[in-house]
Amino acid sequence: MSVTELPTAGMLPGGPGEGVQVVIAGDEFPTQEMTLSIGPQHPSTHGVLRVVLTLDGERIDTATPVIGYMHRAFDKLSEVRDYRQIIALSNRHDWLSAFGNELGVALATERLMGLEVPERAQWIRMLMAEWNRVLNHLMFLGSFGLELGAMTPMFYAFREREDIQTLMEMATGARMHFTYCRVGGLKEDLPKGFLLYSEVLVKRIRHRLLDYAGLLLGNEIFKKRTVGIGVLPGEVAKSYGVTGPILHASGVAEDSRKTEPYLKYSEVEFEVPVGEHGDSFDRFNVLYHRIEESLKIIEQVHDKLPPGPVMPGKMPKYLKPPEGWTYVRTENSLGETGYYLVSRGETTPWRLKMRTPSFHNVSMIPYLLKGVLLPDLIAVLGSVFFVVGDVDR
Amino acid sequence: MIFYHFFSNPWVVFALKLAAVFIFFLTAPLVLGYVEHKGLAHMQSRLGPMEAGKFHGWAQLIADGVKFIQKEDIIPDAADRHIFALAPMVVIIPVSLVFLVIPFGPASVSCHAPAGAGGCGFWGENFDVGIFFVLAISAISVIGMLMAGWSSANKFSLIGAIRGAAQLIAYELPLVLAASAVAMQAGTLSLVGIAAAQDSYWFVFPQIAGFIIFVIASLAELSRPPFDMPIADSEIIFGHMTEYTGIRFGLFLLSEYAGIVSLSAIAVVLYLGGWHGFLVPWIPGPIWTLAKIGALSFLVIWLRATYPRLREDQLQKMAWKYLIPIALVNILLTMIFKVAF
Amino acid sequence: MTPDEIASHLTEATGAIERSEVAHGEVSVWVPNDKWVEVATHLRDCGRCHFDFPTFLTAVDMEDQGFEIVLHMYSVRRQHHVNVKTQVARDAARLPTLSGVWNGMNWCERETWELFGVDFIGHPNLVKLLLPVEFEGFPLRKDFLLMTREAKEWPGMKEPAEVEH
Repeated sequence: MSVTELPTAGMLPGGPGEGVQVVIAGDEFPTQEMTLSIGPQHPSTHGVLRVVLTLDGERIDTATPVIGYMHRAFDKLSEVRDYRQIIALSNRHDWLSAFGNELGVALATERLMGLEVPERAQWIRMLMAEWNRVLNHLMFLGSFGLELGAMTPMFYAFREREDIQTLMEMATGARMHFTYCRVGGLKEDLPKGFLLYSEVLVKRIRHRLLDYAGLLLGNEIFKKRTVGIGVLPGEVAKSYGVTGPILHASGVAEDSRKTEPYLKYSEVEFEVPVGEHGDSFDRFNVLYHRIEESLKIIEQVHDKLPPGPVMPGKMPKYLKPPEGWTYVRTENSLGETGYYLVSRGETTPWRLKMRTPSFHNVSMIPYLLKGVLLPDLIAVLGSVFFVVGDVDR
Repeated sequence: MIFYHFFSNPWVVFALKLAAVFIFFLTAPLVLGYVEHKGLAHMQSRLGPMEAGKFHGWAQLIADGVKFIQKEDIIPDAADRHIFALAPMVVIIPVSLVFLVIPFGPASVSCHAPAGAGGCGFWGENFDVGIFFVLAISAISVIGMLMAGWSSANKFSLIGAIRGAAQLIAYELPLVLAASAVAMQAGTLSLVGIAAAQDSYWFVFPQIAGFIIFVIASLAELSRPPFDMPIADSEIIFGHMTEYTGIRFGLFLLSEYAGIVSLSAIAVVLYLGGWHGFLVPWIPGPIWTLAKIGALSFLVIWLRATYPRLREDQLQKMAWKYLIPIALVNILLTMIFKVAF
Repeated sequence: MTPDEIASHLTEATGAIERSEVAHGEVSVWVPNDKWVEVATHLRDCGRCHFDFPTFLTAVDMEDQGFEIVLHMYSVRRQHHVNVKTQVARDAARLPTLSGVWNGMNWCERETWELFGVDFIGHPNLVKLLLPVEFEGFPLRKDFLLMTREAKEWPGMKEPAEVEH
């Protein structure tokens, strides 16, 4: 409630208006803050994420993410499962690019055991990881458009994903949870026809990506909804532990494929797209260009794939990494996925901590959402790339 | 002779017209809905309904209608029962009334029915203030939207209803201003008169700005993408219609599609020459009208497949800062040209 | 900076490092509890080692020796890692909070608290993050058995940990 006096300028002193006090409630009408809970069932929250908002009209005062609806105790389970079983468990986290999770477990165990992974297995792992990245990014391209109201890119994205999932099924037998990686290499070699279909798909998807550019990136309304919305400065992103396309869009080019190349990333050429402003449009733009870069890497793998075995010759019957600890990180589609593995020489880990990118991306949401309008909430949430299984583990 | 007497009886003509309008009101939205299903589907690289009715799912919407009718009538506990039940009526009845005045074809020379039956010609009633009637009636649905949103006792519905009320009120003005420029151009408020006045050239040519404004404003009136913030199904589930099920929900959907048809029809009459054809003069007037309504409705569907939605403050900005000034300038220019030439 | 250089730089600069170890190309330094925040602040502010990116904070149950809290830091500018570890006693598991140093530590510490029971003094919002509010106990402690095994005798294959080899 504020108290104002009527202006006396132009009024005769002693006249009817002088010195009258007017009480105005608030600035316009008295309003009440509304608490709105977006989710856990909501079309736009990519799964069971709940965000509790306090709204003033349509402007958000505070936003609190409530997570844990999908907590499946991966850390605890991995203490009673051996390394092969853990690989099957791990790919349930970022299920849009499942192979990336498996890769981290295998790399961590191999590092502790000092195993040499055959060349061919490393190249194929890279191929699979990049296809998974394309799968993941296509999904977010489609769903972001859908949340803003553009229905069509979603269907196109799923058409592409269907093709890629068919490709994955040829090699691994599964469309989503691949369980293809093994400690030491891969489950089995690629089937006949895989590389041919992979080449066909690269061309097809590259051609169809132009549709997305037209429908979304070049669209006036899309730009109006996303440019300048949800700006995340680079320093803030770093202090939250945010990684992946979001960090790149905020201007920080931290990609562990470039800084600490694992597998064969040092032998392929690719760029890391970086944004300028850190707003939703930049995040989306970075995602789009990352797909193009992944397709480039896949093409190079096609050319450079050497023949050979996919598992080392002599593997111990039971995997028992020696006592010690290590942290291995991979640049998964959503960001940096890391495994902190503590082993005491048994067939099961003593402690396996999975550091997931979505956990940190979601922790940054209260910062992004302060003072944002309700429809912009959707634009912002859609541009924070997370998968709920990754957040809750 | 008996035939002649039968059809010149005003009550018979009246009943026939009423039946025709009613049938059109029920079937045109169904056809449009089916075209939307299939059109959207093919644009999105999928097939659309294929099962209901064996041949490419032509009976899908009829099946939907039957489904809606047989559903359980659920009213939320905390909802205001009477207003909740009344809201769909308030939304759909005005839309149906619009069809009474749309002229589908020219006055037929062989008809001898007296004026009491609404006059001769392919229309329900020929009001002298036709366009005024249409715009006034179609504004009543806003109240229905507010009633639905408030009585649902659901925060998402409330947000949707408030957005809808703000949007629909804002876009009434460009609609009215654009239509009044046409009325000025034709020299009459009667829809039949406006359609008849387009025999030499369609009004879309001198009034191209007005046409674009009218189409944009009617998209916003109907809450169709890119202006579907009030419904916004990825944010507020379904806006004011969230809590509705069964036939009430069916009536809301029917009103949306009927609204598309009716506003397309109005646009056709105002701008696209009504029943006048081009190139092929032997096709009768009503066919031309239906074809044009179909084309405009397809444009509406096409826009849905393509564009994301505008935020409501951007929407309001567009209405108040762009559409209304341009519409006013349009009226001014029409006035000047009418007086000068 | 190589792992050894990081260890020696930190020992010199903070004077609070108990011991350090390099294994598999990574360095771990052990810090006493009372110097936890001091070392963390140094890591953030030091222009030479420049650790600006908190990767994760978690705990490892070392049974009799208590919990080992592990903070993994990364430097975007210098591209090197460090593990900063400290030991807390099992029955007196508390540590000052780092959520004032880096924002990302807020949720990591909440998670460590609810799974291990390590109290973070000064944390602004120490409530359950992943677990339901009614949950009792600290699940990741070694004495907290996996519930399915507690509730019902597992009729199938033996756990990998139980098989003798």
